[in-house]
Amino acid sequence: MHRANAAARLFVRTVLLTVLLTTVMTACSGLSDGVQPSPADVFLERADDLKRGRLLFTGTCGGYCHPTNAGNRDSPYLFDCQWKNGGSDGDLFASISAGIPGSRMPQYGGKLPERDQDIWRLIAYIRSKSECQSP
Amino acid sequence: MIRGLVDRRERLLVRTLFEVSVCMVLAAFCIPTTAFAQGEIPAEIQLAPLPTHWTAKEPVGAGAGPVTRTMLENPFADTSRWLHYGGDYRGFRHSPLETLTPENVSKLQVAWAFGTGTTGQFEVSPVLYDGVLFITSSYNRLFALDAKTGTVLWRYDHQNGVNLPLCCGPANRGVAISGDLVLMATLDAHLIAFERKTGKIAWDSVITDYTKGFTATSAPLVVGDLAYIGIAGGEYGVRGFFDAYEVATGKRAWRHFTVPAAGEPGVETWADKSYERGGSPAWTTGSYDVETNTLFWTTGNPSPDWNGDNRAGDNLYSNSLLALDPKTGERKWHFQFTPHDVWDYDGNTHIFLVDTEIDGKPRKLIAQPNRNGFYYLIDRTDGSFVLAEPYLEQVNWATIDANGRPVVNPDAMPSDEPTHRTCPSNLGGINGAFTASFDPDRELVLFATIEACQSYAKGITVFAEGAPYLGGLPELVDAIAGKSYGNFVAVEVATGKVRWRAREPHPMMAGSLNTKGGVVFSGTLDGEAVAYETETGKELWRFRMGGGVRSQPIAYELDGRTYVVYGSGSFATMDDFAGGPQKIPEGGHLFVFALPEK
Repeated sequence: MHRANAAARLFVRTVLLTVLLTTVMTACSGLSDGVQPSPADVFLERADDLKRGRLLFTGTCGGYCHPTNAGNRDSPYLFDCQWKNGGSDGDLFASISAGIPGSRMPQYGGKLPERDQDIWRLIAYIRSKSECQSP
Repeated sequence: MIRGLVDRRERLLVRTLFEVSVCMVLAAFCIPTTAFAQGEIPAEIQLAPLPTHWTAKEPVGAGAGPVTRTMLENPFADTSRWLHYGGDYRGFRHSPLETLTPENVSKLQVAWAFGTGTTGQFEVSPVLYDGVLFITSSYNRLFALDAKTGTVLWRYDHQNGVNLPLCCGPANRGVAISGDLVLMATLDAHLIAFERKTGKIAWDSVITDYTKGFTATSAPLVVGDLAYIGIAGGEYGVRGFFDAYEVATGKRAWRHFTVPAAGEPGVETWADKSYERGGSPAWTTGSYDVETNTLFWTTGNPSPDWNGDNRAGDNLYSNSLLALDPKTGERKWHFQFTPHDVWDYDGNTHIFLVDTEIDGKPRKLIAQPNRNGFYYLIDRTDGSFVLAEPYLEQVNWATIDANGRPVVNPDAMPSDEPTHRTCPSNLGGINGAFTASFDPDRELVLFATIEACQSYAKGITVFAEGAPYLGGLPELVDAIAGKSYGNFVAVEVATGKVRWRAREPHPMMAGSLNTKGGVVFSGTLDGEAVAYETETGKELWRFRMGGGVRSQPIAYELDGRTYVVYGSGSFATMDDFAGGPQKIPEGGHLFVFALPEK
């Protein structure tokens, strides 16, 4: 009886630790791009999707809100590897879809014609123009 | 036995807690967090809020009575006043002072200077009455200053709302004055009236909900009992309008929408329901014709700016000159400068109410150097077209036909991958953010210009309320290549021919003031005040103030001494956009120059 209880407790502990470690590993995986494949990776390889990403960038606020050349502006230049709110694909997706509170960056989640797919195309376009060696 | 069981349980609990803690510590390192939640600052580092409003305990000024309608109609009967953004209702910005001449203007000296404590473009046209200068800065600080000494008499720092939908910087261009009130519009779309003698708020009216994409940057205009103010938002897909408010109470008297609603005349010039987000803002100050009791207002670009595919048609009443009944806001007629604009060529640059002869016949006209690079004359009695002449050295987006309608160069149309260098840039040859002036004696229209071209790119249009609604972007080909430059120009009012140009190495984006004595004042993005001889364009005086000049200079005389006032301070983002200098600090200083005391 006592042995059975001890075995049960050990099982519970193992499950608990497994869940916690999985959570930790999942959280940590967001820090290194490439561990989890990004939907933008696919669009990076497709000319039509990259073009659509560029036209979305052009048509929303790229160039006016986000300059296409490094300059003396009050808005972030998105191609210089300097990120205030995270530069992973996941971070960019969050910034574009939910906006950035306390800034002029609005929410575009659900507002682009092809929804999330268009956000990933935007990210792919930004990646394609990046001046970074590695994002 | 029982004790042993408890011990094992305790050890197990401790071990489990330890392991969980290790996991949580690891997670804390791995999961990105912010130092503080948005808007939360720990109590130990919170500071007491700074004061934002300093009223005067005693009435300021020299005891003059209220500003009357007669004064507003004849503002220069007394040269110790400057009562209107445009100098007078006709918009001449022509000081009757004969004391400022080509011979003595170089003797101007700094009498005093004043820092606003703000950055961003300082676009003010000061108002002067009863020895008090009323100055607004970027971000809506309002100062009442002793005009002779610069002493602060009262001050109000407006606390604008958060996340302002600014397309182009935190500008304000000044106040209007009437009775014993001074009126300022704010970036978060309020119109506020202050008691001019104390600075106390008399009323505060909300024009509209700024979070939808609206701002207000212009100086109001007062005619009789009403104050007029328009809004900006052409880059946000708003439905443009301008309003009339009762000066005494702040109650709105009427609203004139610049885009028709369903069933209204002009709605047929918008495809489908594109009129619902048609822009056409009214972000500059209008003019008033005393003789015919007509209010004139002008409008900006249709939305979205650079992709007109979903708004096929002329898009009335964007980029238009509107004539209205000042009491009711009812439109009498309109003239549209740039139908179906896809370049951001706002039609709301400075207008003048001029009387001159055309082909030997006296005509009542409106003159306007338009943002699209052409100088226009329009008959102000009926809105008919008289002439259009290019005033820029580079205009290639269109020619103008005999009816005043542009014949568009197809290469200038925005495209997916533009290669055409189209002139002027989206900032225009002149821009509504700075004034022109008119010398009625020499019959010259005098203003600063931007000589720059761009390639206009068209993208996928996306509307999201409160977010920019642009549809494309201007590629800054000249600005990046260092090819942008500026001219100060003099245009003959009746012919539209350029009399002279004075070239500057960078685009000019400063206002204009001219004097009866024959001097015209403006400024440079390099931070210099400049004066030219009105007749010839000969440079007479140049003074480095520091910040780029985006203000509207004024002149006055107090106790026999002649003064000229400039704001010095630009907006680096816009300077960069225009191809201006990169290394000039933004500034935020007022300079008051004076001729030597007699």
